Amino acid sequence: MELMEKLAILGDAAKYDVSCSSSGSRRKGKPGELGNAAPAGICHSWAADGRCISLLKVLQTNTCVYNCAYCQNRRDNDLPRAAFTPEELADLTMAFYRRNFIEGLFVSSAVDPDPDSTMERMIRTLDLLRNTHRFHGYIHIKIIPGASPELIHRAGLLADRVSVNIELPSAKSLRLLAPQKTSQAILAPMTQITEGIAERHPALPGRRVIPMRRPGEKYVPAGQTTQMIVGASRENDYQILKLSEGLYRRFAMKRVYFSAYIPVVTDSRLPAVAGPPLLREHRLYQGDWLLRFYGFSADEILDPQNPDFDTDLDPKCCWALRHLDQFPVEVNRAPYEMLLRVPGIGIRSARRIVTARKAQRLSEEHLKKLGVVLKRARHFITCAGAYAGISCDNDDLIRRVLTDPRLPSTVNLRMHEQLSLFQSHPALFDPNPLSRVSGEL
Amino acid sequence: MAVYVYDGEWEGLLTALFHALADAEPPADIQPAAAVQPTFFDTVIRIQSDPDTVTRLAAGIRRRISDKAFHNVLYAYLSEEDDSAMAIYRYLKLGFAIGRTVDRHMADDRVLPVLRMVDRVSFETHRLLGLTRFRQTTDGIYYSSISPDGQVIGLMAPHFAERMADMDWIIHDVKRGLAVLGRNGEWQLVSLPYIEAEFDEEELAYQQAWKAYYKQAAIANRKNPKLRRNYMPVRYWKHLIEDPYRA
Repeated sequence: MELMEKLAILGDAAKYDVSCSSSGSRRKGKPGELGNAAPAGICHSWAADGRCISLLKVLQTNTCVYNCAYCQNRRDNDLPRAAFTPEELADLTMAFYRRNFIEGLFVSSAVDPDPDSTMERMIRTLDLLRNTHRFHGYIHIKIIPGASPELIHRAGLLADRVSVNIELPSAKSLRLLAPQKTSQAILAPMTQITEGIAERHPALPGRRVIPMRRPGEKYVPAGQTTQMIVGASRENDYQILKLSEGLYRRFAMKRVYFSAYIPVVTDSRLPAVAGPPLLREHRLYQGDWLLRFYGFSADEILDPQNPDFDTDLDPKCCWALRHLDQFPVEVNRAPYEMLLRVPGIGIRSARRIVTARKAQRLSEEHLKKLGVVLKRARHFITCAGAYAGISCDNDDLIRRVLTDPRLPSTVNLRMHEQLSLFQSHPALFDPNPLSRVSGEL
Repeated sequence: MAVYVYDGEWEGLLTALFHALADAEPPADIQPAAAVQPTFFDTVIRIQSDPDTVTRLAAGIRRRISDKAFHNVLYAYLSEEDDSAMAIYRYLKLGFAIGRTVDRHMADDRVLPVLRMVDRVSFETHRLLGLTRFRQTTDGIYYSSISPDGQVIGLMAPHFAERMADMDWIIHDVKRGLAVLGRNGEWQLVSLPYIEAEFDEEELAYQQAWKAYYKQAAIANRKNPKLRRNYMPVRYWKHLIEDPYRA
């Protein structure tokens, strides 16, 4: 089979994998050899769906002995099958990397005929790249559940990043949709990798002796990630977010990726959906960012009584509306951690505020220049004492202003709009929000 | 009022800035020769770049303001934006008055425009580290063309020099007639108005493979052309090998 034909089949088979990043490793190039790794990662292109292309993302083979319900590569699915030899895949990676198409290789695989021989072929590809071609670019390898601890350890020494797919948000869904994969087979390699990264001696099943790192060897320098499919099973957003939080804490994951379920095969165990639940996926990522960068815990974002994300407002806005007693905050004084909790203030603008306020007292005009989204933020802040939002204690009113594009949120129009709001919704009317704030100052 | 006219080069700009900063009255404008349009009331001052003056101002910025400020001035110059020289003038004027805390004044109109230019130049450099495409010529040299908004070619060079230490390569800024030549981990910036390159069958096959890979990478029921344009503005498409117009 032509190499290009294989690339078409094995690229298509891998494209539903969500992970795209090439970040987390800093590796200098070597004289006379190819490749380096930049800690921030580099995107090389963007496909028509807006997803970035950073790594050559392919399967080693798409021939599979498993029959997972949601997967297009399942055994019973009638589609063209192909496999790269390790030599072919290493050569193709080198050729693409030299042309700066890619930042490196992402290799996953269907299982054929068993986890160990599958992993061995993938590792052979990595070994050729690293040791024969002297390739120092980025490599992400997918661990095949059930592969032996020795092979997982070798993969970790050759790759920058390693991932084990958790596949579905609960063991129950896994039993239903992927009966050949067990949660034990998924969690064991995750644990091994976490402990390997932490340089503890891996507690291995069967107590086999694993060669530990030699001096200078790096083990999974860019860390471990995982991903799960959202919308193919019944879990709510709260369960999924709690699971992600657990994965970050227990396994020190760099990322937990979500992929909105896209029907690629038909199976009576799968839900019938019109299109992928993209808004839900987006909200989960917003929640994920709150966990990783904004100092929130999953229980602050959702709870068993409100287990699903709001469709109209982002999770930080929803949190703020439930906690109006903590607002408004004075941007010239509030600690960085509290600024991060203000809707419309992101990490970049929070950092800018903290720097800029050392030099001058900040007004709303200044915040605009620093990149704050005032449309959202103004209801939750004061700038040198001045409050320019619509209400600091009426969450329904703020919610209306934030979700109804017809209602302006500027100061000048505020009284006028309140009047018209008052006429249509007398219960929402807040007689004089300013006096209450200025009373505090 | 005074309009300082310099040759468009970095040294010329620093010389012009030195004189403008020494003058008690602020200048009406500082412009490269090609862009200057003085009004009837302006006094045009043509600046000859002078190495001693350049060294003096550069050292002064580093010592009396900060290394970071010098970096900011260089990047703002490389942005080649119309008002960059005057923005730098205002930034340095304040910087010399208050010293190393100048960058804290992020919301000040004398500082913000320079910081924005620095951001745009850094961002474009980073973007092009990914978007630059090399084609192997029949001479075995890997050639790429770009036409960036700013003069970022020299900022991109160290990355590729380190990465492609076993290759001969060229990045050609066709908009400015500049090129970086790389070999053995070293690079140099040269003037290169035009170059002719030929490609063989194998090279064309790799280009085809990449085009096909790019096309199939999108998931059909997640199509989002607007999101793609946000990440990869259309002005960068013409130097790619993949074809976003047809994928």
